[in-house]
Amino acid sequence: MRSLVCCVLILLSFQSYSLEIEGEFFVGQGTDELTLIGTSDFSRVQPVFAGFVAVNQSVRIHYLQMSSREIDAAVRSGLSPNIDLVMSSAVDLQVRLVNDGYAQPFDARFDQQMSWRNELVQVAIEPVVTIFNRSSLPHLGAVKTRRELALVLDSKEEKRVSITMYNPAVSGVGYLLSRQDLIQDEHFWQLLEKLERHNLKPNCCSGDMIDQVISGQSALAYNVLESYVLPRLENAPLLDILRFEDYQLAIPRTAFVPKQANDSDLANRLVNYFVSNDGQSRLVPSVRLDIVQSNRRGGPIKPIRITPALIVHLDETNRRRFFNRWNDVVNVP
Amino acid sequence: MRLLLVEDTKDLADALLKHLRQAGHTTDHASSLSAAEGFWSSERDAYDVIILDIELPDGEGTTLLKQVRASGLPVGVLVLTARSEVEDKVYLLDVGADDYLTKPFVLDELDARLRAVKRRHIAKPLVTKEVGNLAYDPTNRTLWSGSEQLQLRSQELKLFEGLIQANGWTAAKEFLFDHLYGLDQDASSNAIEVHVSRLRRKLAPHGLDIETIRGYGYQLKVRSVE
Amino acid sequence: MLVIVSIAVYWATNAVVERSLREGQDRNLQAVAQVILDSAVKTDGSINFELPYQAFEVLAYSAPERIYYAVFLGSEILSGYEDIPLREHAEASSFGDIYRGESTRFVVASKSIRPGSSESLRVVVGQTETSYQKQSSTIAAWIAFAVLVSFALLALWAELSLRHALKPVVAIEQDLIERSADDFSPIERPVPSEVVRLVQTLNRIFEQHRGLLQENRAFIAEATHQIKTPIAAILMRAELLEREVEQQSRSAVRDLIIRARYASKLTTQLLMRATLTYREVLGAREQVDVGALVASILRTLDPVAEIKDVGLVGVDLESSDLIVFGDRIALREAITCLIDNAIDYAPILTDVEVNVCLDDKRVRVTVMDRGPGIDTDELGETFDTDKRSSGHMGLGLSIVEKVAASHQGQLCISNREGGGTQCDLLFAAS
Repeated sequence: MRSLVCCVLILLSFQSYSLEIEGEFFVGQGTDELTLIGTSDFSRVQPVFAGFVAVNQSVRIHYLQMSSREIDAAVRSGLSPNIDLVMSSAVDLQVRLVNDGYAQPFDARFDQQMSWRNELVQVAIEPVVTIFNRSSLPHLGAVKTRRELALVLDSKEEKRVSITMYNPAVSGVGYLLSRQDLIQDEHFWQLLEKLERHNLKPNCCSGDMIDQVISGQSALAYNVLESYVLPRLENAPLLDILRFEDYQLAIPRTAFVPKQANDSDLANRLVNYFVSNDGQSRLVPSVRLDIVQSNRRGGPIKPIRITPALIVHLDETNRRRFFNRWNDVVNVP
Repeated sequence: MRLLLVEDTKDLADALLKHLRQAGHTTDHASSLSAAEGFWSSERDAYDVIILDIELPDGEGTTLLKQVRASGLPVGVLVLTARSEVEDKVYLLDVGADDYLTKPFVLDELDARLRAVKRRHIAKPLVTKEVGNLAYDPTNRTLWSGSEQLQLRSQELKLFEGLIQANGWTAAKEFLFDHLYGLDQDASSNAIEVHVSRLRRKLAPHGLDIETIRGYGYQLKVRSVE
Repeated sequence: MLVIVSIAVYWATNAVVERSLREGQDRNLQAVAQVILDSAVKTDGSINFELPYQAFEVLAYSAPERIYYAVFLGSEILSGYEDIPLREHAEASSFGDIYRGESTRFVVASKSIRPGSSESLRVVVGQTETSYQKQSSTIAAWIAFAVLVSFALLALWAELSLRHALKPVVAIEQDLIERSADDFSPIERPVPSEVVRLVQTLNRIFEQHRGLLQENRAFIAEATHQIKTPIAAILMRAELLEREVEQQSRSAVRDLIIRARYASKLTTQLLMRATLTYREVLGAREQVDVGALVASILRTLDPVAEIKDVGLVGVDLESSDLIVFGDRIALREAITCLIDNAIDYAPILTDVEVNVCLDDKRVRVTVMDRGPGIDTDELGETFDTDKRSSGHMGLGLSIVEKVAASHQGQLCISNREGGGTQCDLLFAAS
């Protein structure tokens, strides 16, 4: 239940620093306010917050939806005294904030696979899939690996189609996914070359890419968030999902309590609730943590490991090296 | 009484024999263990009491004591010992001596103990004179409560006999005095009262009273059972 | 001692383990730094290098520690954490420092970019070492614990083997404790060769003591026999003589009898006292029913009392809780002495009363006569010798006192109301 929703793009002033806030929401009517910032659409996390507030009547959750870059800037600029919890799917940025000492340890002891230093914990997961338009690419149904995809796209029978994917220069998620693809698959640049040989138009967001595939504007979208795709399947008969058997990436949505949190105790309780069975059951099934163990079509899900090595992706030199290569391969207008 | 004296010291044995025979006891004398065993094996049924010295030249007197007890005969054994070691005395009683006398002793004590030892081995006769709950055996001069013998001193016994001679009537004090002491003995005048009170104390648990008839004498009465 | 050893072991182990862990950590950091350094190339006048994801991941995998890095060209930062405290450790290839509030290891790798130029490319890779330190102290604690346990086990083992080795000696000790005071038989338990001589010596001492004691007892028995039998003969002959002599000589014979009796009594008591001393050494104690004991004594003494025409009255002897833990024979002798003495002094036709009762956790034996009593002046004095105004008790009181003392008992003598003496002998009830 949305108790109070105001879904406006507003500019809020935090001390002297301006932050771009995509939305500000409240759940619950208690007096203990828990302020958290996150990248997730409010509609996706609202059921969990509602569940938490239902058993903690004294709590009111104050949720600020922001982009991952804004969150990074907000924490680094020292605005975090007002923030009790940071929840983001930009795991590289999250790891770097924790590495740089902005987080405090949780009270509970989390599994090492799910957390790092017990300061950053995984609360949900975003599997990544590839989608295509069945009428544009009728032969793609049998494709099982990226190598096969490259072969099909390379074949003489396929006419030139428009293809889309995240633009890493614009999207942090896109950049992260491309870096992980490079780590998992040494032939990733070759695959990109094949995509580019058709008509590769990188995009900013999963939603746009899905729209393009449904409308046929793009025949294929590489690396889109599955949770955005699934609700669309029902009304889009031509939309189809490709789950590679070589590997399927997934982005962990992680949370940490900032060192200067107002109410770290309450933040801990929310995190504990989030990872509990009750909390997880309020998420859409495709983003629940147990999806990793589940038996689903396609290959094994390889969530991006929560490791401080991720900080090298954010290094300017490394970025520069990547984009040098990217720009060589992809002809960006 | 028929006695066997086993004593090796000649002086002592002579004196004892003289005394015992004067007192009217038929007494055999053995001066060694083997001699004593000889007397015992030939005349075992004859003796009332054996007066037995423990330190004998050819062995311990206890050897004979054990034989006597093994026979099961009603023979009293009064042990004479020069040892004063107490554990010896206790040991002697344990192996079946009826009593012991530590040398030296006075003849009166010997007589008193002899009487007591003899009485211990007297069985209750079939025919007795009933006095209340008690039974009087005039032959052996013993008094019984059931199968248990009442331990009366000789003066008390004489007094009791005097009282039952009155046969339910009052016994005159003078009569009792004569009965106890005879005519030639001098005794204090209150002796009768003392003995009466002692006897009264011993008879009271058995339902017999000695009633004082002031100025005259005493009467034995069976307490009526309510 | 053990604690000091453990602390020392902990401290030393911690230092060693910490150093070896640190060396391992430095090697890992060195490897990462070297990979970065090796990737550096100069293209188009600028330095190009790569931060290898996999190398960092391996580093991260070893421990959940924070990772820092920085790449410098000369003093200019090209990438990474520019506030790494490199300047303080300019020449070191590795160093530790507190960085961002945590103890951190840093490794520096460098190479010169242009030949002849002093300007060099320096790669710094750092990692916090909290978990290494924790690991080190944990290992040290475990090793110290293991050492402690080993020491304890060793001590236990030493104790056990010592005990095992001493077992025969302990068994001999136990034999000696359990041995009764008059048991001088040799120790026959098989013993290890180390203590054979000890046991032999003990056995020789036993042998000597047994010889002495036997000699002593044999002497007493012999002396008793030698003294008493002639006295008995004298007494008896005197008594027989008394009946035969003329009236005027009779008092002289009577006097002889009295003296002979006294001599006999003294002899008996003297030997009795010696015996009691010996029994005290024996320490033979048991639960003694004093009521039953007194009843038995009264039976034994009744003929004696009868000769004197003295009544002997026992009161309340049937109570079952009149129990004293003591030497039955010594108790019998002491009580016999008191009653015998009372009979001696009781006038004809009077009673000697004996009763036993429980008096405030003590068993009280009371003997009362109607004799002449004792001088009040002498009450409270010691009873080593008898002070009765008429006649002697000889060593009797000394015997009673001795038995009372060896049983934590007490003897009280007082004059009775209406004439006579009351002796109270008290023992702790069991």
